[in-house]
Amino acid sequence: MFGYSFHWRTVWQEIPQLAEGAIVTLQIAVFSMLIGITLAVLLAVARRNEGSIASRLASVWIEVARNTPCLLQIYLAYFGLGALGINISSYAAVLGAIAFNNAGYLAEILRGGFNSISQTQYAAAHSLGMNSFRVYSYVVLPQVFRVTFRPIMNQSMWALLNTSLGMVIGLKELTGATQFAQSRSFRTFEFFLVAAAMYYVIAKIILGLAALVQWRFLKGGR
Amino acid sequence: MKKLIRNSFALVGAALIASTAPAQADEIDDIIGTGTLRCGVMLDFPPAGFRNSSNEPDGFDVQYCKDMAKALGVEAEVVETPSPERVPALVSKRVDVMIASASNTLERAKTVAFTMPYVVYTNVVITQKDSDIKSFEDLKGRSVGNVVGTTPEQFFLEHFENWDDPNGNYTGFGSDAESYLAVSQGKVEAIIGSSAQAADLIASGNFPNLEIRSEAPFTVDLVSIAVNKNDHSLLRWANLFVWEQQKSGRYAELYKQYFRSDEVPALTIPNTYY
Repeated sequence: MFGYSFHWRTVWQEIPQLAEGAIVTLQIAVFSMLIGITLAVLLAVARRNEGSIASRLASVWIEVARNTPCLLQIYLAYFGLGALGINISSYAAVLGAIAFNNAGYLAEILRGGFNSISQTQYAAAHSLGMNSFRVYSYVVLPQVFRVTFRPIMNQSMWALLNTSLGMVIGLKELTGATQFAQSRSFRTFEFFLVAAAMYYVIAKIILGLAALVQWRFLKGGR
Repeated sequence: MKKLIRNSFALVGAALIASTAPAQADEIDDIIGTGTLRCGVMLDFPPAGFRNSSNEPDGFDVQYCKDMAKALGVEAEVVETPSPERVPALVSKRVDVMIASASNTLERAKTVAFTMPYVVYTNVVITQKDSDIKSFEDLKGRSVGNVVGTTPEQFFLEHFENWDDPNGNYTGFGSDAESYLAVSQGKVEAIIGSSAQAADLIASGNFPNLEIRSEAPFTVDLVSIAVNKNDHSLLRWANLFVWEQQKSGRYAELYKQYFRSDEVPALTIPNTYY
């Protein structure tokens, strides 16, 4: 095939560097999902009180997060804040931007989950003397997460793949580390193939962890 | 006698078959046959490659490609290849040659074939105007940035690892646009860049708070044209072409025009042959 022979040895020598990048990638994917889900619950709940200030703010957040490219959000977190004199590290900028992006998408996913729960359940829970916080945490959210589990996992795959954008602002995640290694030796195809395989494995690890969570906490899910 | 006749028929037959079979066409034949020379050039690396005010590719590397096409008697086609896509473009035959300011390192030469050097870069330290970094040695223990995967980056990291200063840190950005923005916002205290590009970008007025501080003590950054490893005839021809550009004075002419310097650097290292 086009006169290119593969040199795998060059890649094996750089595996420790790629692995370091992979760990950064995994960290950002997981943390940005945890932060994203927390924020998304707040956004989705805020949005249910139509007309309130919180609801409007949540709408703006969701609109901006979903309708602008993630790359732009990362740029704004890094260089945009930088122009205002706020300098954060590239790790924090990528984590923050992807969490922001996740929160927007997840809030919409959760909204569908909330809509699937009948109003009578809220009434029933309140009549048992539960306050709003307990209604959500004991009755509503467990059901919402059960219904929306798969779309949430889908979003976490997006979060994982979006971390590769961190490269442009100097974050040495998996893509950044791959870029660094390949441009030194010009063994482009080998390095990118290995990186692709590593992304695949990381995605499978996340899905595996998710399956554990589902099995442990969301039994009886659909 | 009969045998001799039979043998001579066989010989003539074999010769006929051989002459009808097409001769092995090489890369040069292909280029001349198709009538276009496709060059991979970085267009985000002024003054070697950029887009001029009418959005046409221009720059030292672009002119070099046009000269090469002219010498081959074909049309030049400039294919934009950002730094990380240079080699994939060459290897997958989307371009015939790579005239993209690529440093000719031994490591890279295991993958592509380099000609003799066709231009040389010097690297400089760029900081904000009010920075207290005066020389390259002052970078010890500071935050420094550069573009990921470039040769200046590799040169710098050697020094960086030798210093081994816990306060120092290094960030490799995606492209020059990001590294210049980062130093002008103070995200890093200094960057290392090619002197010609730095002079160009600072003269553009987009980075009013930046200044070139001092030269970086790296070995001369000689860059070469690259072709696919198996294109032997093209490599030989391109080598001669580079030599011819030098001999005819065209190299000096282009260098003065694009690098805005009266002093044209030698393409050799003292006391050695290429």
